[in-house]
Amino acid sequence: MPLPDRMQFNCPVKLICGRRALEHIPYELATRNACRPLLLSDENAHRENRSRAFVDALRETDHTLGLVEALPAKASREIVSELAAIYRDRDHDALVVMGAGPLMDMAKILNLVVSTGQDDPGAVTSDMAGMASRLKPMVLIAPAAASAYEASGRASIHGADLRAVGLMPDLVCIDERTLGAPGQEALMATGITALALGAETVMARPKNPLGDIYGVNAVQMAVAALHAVERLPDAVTPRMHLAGAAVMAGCALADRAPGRMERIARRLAATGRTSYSEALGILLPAAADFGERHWDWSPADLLRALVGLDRAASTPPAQQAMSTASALKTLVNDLFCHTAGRIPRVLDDAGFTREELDSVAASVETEDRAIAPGAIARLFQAAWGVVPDPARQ
Amino acid sequence: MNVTYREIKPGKKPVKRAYLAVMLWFMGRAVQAASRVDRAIMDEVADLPDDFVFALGVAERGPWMVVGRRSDGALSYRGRAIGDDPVDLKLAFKHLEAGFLTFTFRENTPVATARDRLNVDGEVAHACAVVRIIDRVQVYLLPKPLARLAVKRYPRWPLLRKCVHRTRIYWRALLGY
Amino acid sequence: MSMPVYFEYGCSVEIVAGHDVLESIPDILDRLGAKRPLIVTDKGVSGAGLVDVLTAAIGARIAIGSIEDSVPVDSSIETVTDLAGAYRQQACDALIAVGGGSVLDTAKGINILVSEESDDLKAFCGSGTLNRPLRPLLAVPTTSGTGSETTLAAVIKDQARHRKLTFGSPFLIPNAAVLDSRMTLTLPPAITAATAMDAMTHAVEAYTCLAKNPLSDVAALTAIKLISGHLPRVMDTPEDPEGRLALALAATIAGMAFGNSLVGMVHCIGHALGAVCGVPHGNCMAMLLPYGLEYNFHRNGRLTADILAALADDDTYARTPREDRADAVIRRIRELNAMLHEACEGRHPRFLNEVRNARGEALVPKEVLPQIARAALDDGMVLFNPEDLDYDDFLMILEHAWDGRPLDRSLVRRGV
Repeated sequence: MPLPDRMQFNCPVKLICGRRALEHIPYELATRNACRPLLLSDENAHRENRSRAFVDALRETDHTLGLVEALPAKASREIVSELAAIYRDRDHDALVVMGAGPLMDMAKILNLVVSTGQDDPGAVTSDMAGMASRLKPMVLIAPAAASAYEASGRASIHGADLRAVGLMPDLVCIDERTLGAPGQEALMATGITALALGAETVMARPKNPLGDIYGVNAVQMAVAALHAVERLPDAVTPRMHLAGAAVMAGCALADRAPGRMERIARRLAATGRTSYSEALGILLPAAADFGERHWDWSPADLLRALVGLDRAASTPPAQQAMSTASALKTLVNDLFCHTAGRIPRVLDDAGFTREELDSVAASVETEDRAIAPGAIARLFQAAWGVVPDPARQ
Repeated sequence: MNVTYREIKPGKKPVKRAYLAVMLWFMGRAVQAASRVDRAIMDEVADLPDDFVFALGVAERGPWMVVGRRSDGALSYRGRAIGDDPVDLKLAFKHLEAGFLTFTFRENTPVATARDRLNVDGEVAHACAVVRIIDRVQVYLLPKPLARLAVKRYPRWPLLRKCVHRTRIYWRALLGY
Repeated sequence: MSMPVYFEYGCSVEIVAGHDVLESIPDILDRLGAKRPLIVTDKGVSGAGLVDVLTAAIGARIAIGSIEDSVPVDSSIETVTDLAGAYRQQACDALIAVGGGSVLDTAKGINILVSEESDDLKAFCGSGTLNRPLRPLLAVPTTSGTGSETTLAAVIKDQARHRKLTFGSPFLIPNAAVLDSRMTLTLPPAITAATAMDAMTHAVEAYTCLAKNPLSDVAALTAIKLISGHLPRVMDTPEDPEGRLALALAATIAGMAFGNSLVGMVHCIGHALGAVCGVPHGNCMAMLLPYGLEYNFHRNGRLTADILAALADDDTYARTPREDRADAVIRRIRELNAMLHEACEGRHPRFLNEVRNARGEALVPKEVLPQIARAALDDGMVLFNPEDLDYDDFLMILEHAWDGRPLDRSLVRRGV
């Protein structure tokens, strides 16, 4: 395993996962000198009354819980200000977040506001979150359907993007009682996103074995869940795997800048033809192949996480990269089949036109020449699904 | 937008608390009894310091089982509350549910420790001795299928010895001597 | 994949690793709001010129409050109290621990006193006594073994009472661990071998014992792969910076694994052997690791088998029949020890009867084995071992390890 000359990684998240994990939260908060948590939940969590499990877990403790439930999916500075006033007026000393995506973004900004004393949520900066120990304790109770960015050091609100290790939650709890009961599509979107983000962490260069610990786990858990796709909405284990995969992917990202595939998928999703997770699913098999040839990626490093030790070890080294791309293609094709075509395999399935793809390729703002419009156009060609990739001819 | 805020003080779990209290009470008395019956436990106790006191229970609010070493080398059950007297070793479940898992035989002591549910506060050597004593007592108290869940290795003891000791320990634990 | 019924995992320390990363220390301190660090180390480290390497890398960009190199082999309350005094006297605002486990434990102790503004270290003994962040603490390991830069515990000796005090808190974890290949380049071969096998044992036990979890598993296998891939190279070419960096990183990653999943009986016996006979910890681990795997074979042989791909390579794993893989792992660890024994000209013992002190005297006479077995019973790591052990079991294992013969697995007692 060749190592780069310099590696850096920081993930301050403590993960507690499994049976009666919620009951450990009061203990963890107490070790951080907190006993008056404020629970924030989104509409899904409120509808399913998930907060009841957390209240139950706090029984027999000296904690006092404040609750603000059914917060809207769209984060706003006004709500952050309102929550900050509650946090301060009611003397809360920790945040507990029960929800996904935008709610966690809002909670990260809120934590920055209440920890730094900065009143205007629009004025907080990444630098303010630079020192993790200055922020108040924050706990994420992870759901099965998530954006996979919840545990990361990234937050965005009203177009402003923040990136700092200090934004990551101190504690992430995964407990079957609070996974939620979302539909199959939301769960599959979580699995695909976590798989793709974890896979990009593991394959991309420079190599970072520290981030890979989380990246490999994101991939293993996502694959385990996606293989159980028929049972996804009902069975506990696949949903535990999905919650875990999303958390692992977020931890692997930490405060890292978005990767190449991630940036391109964002632009694809911005066209409205496909969702972000679908765009990642379309790009991933093609990027594994393309990345090996043009981005110095190492798809072979991903094979074990995808297919297990026995199958990976029995694959000759020269075939491992190809087997990775092939395993990814099979997985995405299977999802297409299981969802009767609702999850696209290739760009063609999603209904993109050539013109749209050219304009997407040109719209990725970056100084990275490896994803200049010409390079992206070649990647799109590989992900197109109809015309063979000329580089392979 | 005006958000809706409410504040609650979570309540108690009286049934589980009562169950644990009874189990710890009986376990405490059984430990006391076993220290007068079983040779291996007597040897373990002999290595503990004079006036050594240990407590097993749930962190913060209890219930506890407090047991002390007497000057004659036996253990004595001292009740279910940690008073002002110093406790040399505390084995504390982080929360009531963790204790409940153990005392309903779904997680044994090593597993509870491995799962970070049990905090040890005191000398590790003493904690090891206490865990060995408790394991042995559980083998006496529980029917084999349950005891096999509670200990890592169910011992090969002569049947007669196990039956006689089990009867004596039960009898003494119930009568409290 | 299977998810454990319950697990916890966390490692909040920022890890910076590379060939010239000491130079990052001023930036890290600046980010943590510190300007004047106290450097804590021991005479061995300062005598080897490693503090000079550090000060040359950072001295121009930061005011060093003081350099204290009086840390003894076993950290003590007296040393901690004295050095806390030096910290205050020099108006320091951060700590840099340069050295191994004892130096880092001392620095953790100092950090408790200076952050809590106290002189009574004993008041903070145990867990749960600290509940707020302490002063910035950076760890610069000079051996690739202990992994203590990632753990939340400190062990400090109370010499007056002949007791070891244990401190445990998430706030004791260093803010950053800086792994620079320059700090281990001059490590002598025997210490390189012993510390690498220490890290190897952390990883193997983390993967095969009771508190394992999916994250510690990946960390453990990564560490095993790094060590097995680079240790022979480093023994051949000690000044190979790539290999040194890989071993340093492996030790830290193994620390992350065992810090979360803990270890088992190899550590029980190893701690006892160290306490009774003064055998260096890394040597104990190297000698006993095959015996630990053999003793637990009926419980975790399947897990031991998994290790083969990381310890050797994928091809070896695939070519070895499934039922032989765990045995192959044990055999390879013994072969690794034999290679190290040869490379260190006999100063890396393979069996207990080979352990010698600097004067060539036997350190582990056979008569002390019962004493070691009794001491091993008192080690908390026995709880995390897959199979139970009593005095007779420990003694049986020690006798095999003394003679240097593989464990007779028919003697391992199983429950009924």
